[in-house]
Amino acid sequence: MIITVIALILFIGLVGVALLGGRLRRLLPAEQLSDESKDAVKLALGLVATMTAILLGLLISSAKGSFDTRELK
Amino acid sequence: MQMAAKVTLLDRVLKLYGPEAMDARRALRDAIADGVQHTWPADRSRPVRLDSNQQIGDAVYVAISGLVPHDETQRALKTQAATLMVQLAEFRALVQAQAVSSVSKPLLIALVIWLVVIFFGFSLLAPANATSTLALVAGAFSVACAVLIILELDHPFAGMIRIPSR
Repeated sequence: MIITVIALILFIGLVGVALLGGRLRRLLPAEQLSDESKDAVKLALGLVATMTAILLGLLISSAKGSFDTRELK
Repeated sequence: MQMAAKVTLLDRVLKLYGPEAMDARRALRDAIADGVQHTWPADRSRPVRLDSNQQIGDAVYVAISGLVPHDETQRALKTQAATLMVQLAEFRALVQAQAVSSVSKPLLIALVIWLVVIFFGFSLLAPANATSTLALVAGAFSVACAVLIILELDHPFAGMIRIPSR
């Protein structure tokens, strides 16, 4: 039960952060959102996204592995 | 799975031993029924207790030790049964010891922080219309599902994904 609550909180938090980013974007001056700065942001985010994908895959495979070990017992 | 195989074998050994082992078989059956009931309760919302039937398990062991073998076959069968019983207790202790979480908390916290950074950055770049918002919400939903699966697999005796009782 608490697991579902944790996942739900994560989902709501991520949506909230996304909405907050949308708000903040309107406050930024227009020259900060040039094509070059957008490219830089995309590059940095691509790095973080790759690391997150690797970590997510690692955690899922390790959790599945321990589940299978316990099922064999 | 291995525990179930050992229980079946132990029951067969006791059956082969003869009518004197009826008490041990009955005690074994009680212990197994009690263990299954505690590990997989009918009411799924109740917490699972893995450490409940030590006295009943001891009763089986005492019943097996109390058997007086009359010939060579029965002596061998009694030794087999005692060995199987000790192995079962070993397995049970191992399962209890492994019931603690195996996914490391710092990795999970780092994952969540990176996810927050990613979604903040993406929403800074995305134009403020319904399509891009929906795409971001769909991404957040799938990531939350992935974390849910990780945590569910990590707690095999609780939640939606469980080890089946068969």
